[in-house]
Amino acid sequence: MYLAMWKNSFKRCLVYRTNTIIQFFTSFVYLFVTVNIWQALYRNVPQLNGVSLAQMLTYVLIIQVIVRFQDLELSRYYGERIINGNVSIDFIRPVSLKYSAFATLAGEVSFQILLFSIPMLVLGAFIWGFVLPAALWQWPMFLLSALLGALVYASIEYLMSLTVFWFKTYFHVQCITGALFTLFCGSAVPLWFYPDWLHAIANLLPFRFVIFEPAGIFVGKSTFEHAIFTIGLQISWLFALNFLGHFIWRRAQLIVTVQGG
Amino acid sequence: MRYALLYWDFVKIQFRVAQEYRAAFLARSFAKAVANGASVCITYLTIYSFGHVLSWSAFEVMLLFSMNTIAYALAGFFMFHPFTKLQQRVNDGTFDEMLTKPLNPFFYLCSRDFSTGYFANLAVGIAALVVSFIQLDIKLSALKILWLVVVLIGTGMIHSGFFMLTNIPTFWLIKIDAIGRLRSTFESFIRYPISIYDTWIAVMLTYIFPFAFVNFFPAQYFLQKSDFMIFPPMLTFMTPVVGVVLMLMGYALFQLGIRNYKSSGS
Repeated sequence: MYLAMWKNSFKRCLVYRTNTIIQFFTSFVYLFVTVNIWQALYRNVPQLNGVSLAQMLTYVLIIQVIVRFQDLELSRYYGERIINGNVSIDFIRPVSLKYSAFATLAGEVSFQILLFSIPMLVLGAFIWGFVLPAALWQWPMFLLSALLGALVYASIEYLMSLTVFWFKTYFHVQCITGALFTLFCGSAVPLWFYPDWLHAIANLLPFRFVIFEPAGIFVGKSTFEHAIFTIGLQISWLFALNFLGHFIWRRAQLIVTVQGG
Repeated sequence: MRYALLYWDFVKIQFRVAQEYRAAFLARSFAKAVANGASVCITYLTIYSFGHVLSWSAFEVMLLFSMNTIAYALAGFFMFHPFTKLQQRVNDGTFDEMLTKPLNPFFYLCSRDFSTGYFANLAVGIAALVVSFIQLDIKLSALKILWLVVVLIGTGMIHSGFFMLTNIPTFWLIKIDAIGRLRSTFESFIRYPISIYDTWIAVMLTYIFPFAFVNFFPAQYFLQKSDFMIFPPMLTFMTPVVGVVLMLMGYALFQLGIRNYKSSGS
């Protein structure tokens, strides 16, 4: 049944084709700007902190794909349903709100990745070059850790969406978590280039597991042992976040007020 | 004069609205400040470990970023709502109201929708500007501060002009969202000094979509740099002129637009 929700949402995206073309152009320009700044930074610098320009561009291109997980915006999904009162129906439906939200959003994200991010990656690879992983183990480890990263991100979003029951709006929480995420996930600047103290803070937070760690495995900056360790930590974070989510959800059910009529 | 007083009255109304919903206003401003602050940090961090990009140090790039943030906030106060809401108004016919007042419709449209939502952007922009000037150890004489104010107003006018020129086509086209997206897409080029791009992109950002006048050219006067690529160095002083020209173009387009406007009726 959740599979059907996933499929429906995937099909819905196919309808908005012009939108997708404009979005493709916009994203391509952003990518272009990013590539240009790294090329300019690396002019006359063969490598920095053990990272070469080729590795850096590979990093920039591969995160084009995994950065799409940010569209698993459960907080927006919940926020809209709580604000317009539809959540009252969700409470009496025989399906889990959490999993149907996830299935719907995952449909959109799969669409984006298949028809948007991967073409972008291929186009970028043709123009600027792309270094495939040297070792075979990097492929499965990257895929596994990217998938776990998506689940970690969805869990963070789930926690945020529960705050809507208290605050009645999702804008602020989304803005602030978004800012923390941008700072600490490594999507704009990989954590290799952070000052030590900031890297230390990033290490304590779950955000780096969504973008930085999977991409690090792909570009070969992680040893096999480190990759295993990363995946272990991702699973632990996943358990911790979901345990917390379950606990808060039980509280939220008690205080929910339904708006609108 | 009459217009100035009237404008001020409309602004006062918007402030009262903000005051009425003070908690929401503060929470929103705080959230926006955090988001903007994170962008400033990311810009700095991009350059940080390399020390500089071409001849630009991390704080010089941060100065460029802060100038754009301030410019966007200034345009946001005065021009964002009037022109982003224009499409809606033209499509559902509420634009009729603008034409029935005993005022210049352009003025009435602009004064109706002063936005109080950009104080956070402005505060972060000014903070980043001051921090970069201090870190770069640049002392400004009174005259230079005056010029800085003129330049910042000019940069605000450039962004205002772009808001106008990208939204006014709604008088002819039904959906213009794509044009707005284009505006923000081109704006993303000036996050960094435009000398990092190929010359043809720099030319485009100077003469066709003149975003380079928001930060790249005017900043070089204060930083005493001369990274002018193929362009004449006097462009560093042209920001206010570009701002005025863009807004005049916007105004002219608006006049053409209302002549073409046929109410959708309701």
